Amino acid sequence: MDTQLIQLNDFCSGHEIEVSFVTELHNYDIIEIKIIDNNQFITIEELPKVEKMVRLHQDLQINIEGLEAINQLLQRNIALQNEIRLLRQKINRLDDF
Amino acid sequence: MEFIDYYKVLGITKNASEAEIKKAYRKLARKYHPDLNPNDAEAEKKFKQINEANEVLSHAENRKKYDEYGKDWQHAEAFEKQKANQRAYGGNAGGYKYSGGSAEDFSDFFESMFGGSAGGNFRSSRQSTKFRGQDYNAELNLNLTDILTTQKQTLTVNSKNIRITIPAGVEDGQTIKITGHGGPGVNKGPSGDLYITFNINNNTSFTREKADLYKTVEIPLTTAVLGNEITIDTLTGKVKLKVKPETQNGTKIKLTGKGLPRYKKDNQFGDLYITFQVKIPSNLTEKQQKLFKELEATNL
Repeated sequence: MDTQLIQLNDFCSGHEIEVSFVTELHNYDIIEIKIIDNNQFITIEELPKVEKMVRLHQDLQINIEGLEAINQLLQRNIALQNEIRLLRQKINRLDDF
Repeated sequence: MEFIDYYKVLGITKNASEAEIKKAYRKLARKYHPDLNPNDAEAEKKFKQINEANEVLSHAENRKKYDEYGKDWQHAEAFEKQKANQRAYGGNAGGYKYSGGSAEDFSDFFESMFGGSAGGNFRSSRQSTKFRGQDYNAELNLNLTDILTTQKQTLTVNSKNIRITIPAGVEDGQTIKITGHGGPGVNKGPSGDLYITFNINNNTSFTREKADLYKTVEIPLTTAVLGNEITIDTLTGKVKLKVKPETQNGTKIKLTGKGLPRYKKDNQFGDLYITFQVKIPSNLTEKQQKLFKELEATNL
């Protein structure tokens, strides 16, 4: 397996956050947790997202429901930005003709 | 250096209660938090301002000093020294101990009043309100032919040169993270990250699907029927290819390892798929027409 994994317990102690908070993020489908041999892991790809949610929770006291809403809006924002990027590429190609 | 009206920054009155300050700060922090405003320098600036205002107004001692000197902040240091001397003379040399270190997160006005690195109670509160810097997003345009090998490029982000490695085979729209090259943190918080999205412009006649390439090649009818050797272009040069006799229109063949490098997998390549399109001849000469009629007569 290529994916690098971080033990959930290590992540939580490093960020001084309850394990239950991160598992709640997983229960709300905000982040993914991998379970291997009864141990919980976060993939390295998922790490920026988990850290962002922890920051929003710690900095702004946003609860899980709020984080879920924010996550959906941020994803919509990313999708729109990608669409803009692809449309810009198409426009550039058309300009070449 | 200009006087900063911290009350105005938080949108509160001078006699605002602690609860009102906290409420105003939280409201604005939620509005301007860097994680909620990616790529918005104005929001980041505003966020730093409200954070600074909160640092001053949410601590009774700092707020008192700020209220006391206000617009006469330029004289604050002199007043403080005078007070300190008086205390020292009385055998009680207390007060703040400024270390004088730089704190680029705060305005010059703030530094002049509260020092570069505040001490006492203030330190613990600053530690508790560290904020990570804003993540930056950038786009990098490359041609498909640029990603055949891993290469290094220097990018300039916010006047800083960053040398990055672009792995061969990177995908169109793929984003990589450069840790710690985003905006600076607030209150000594960690820097944000830089995310680079690659726009891969296909400047070739191939169609790309991950590491595999696809191309349709026209072959003459006679080559399709009788077979022959043809030369085709790949991304790494020309290759000779045998077309088997009686090759059907739309036949697809695979040239193993002639695709793009697989992302972050050394010496592994995708494949090149060639689809043969048989070209039906046009503008036949009389002789050619006659030959086709002869073929027709054989019930071909």
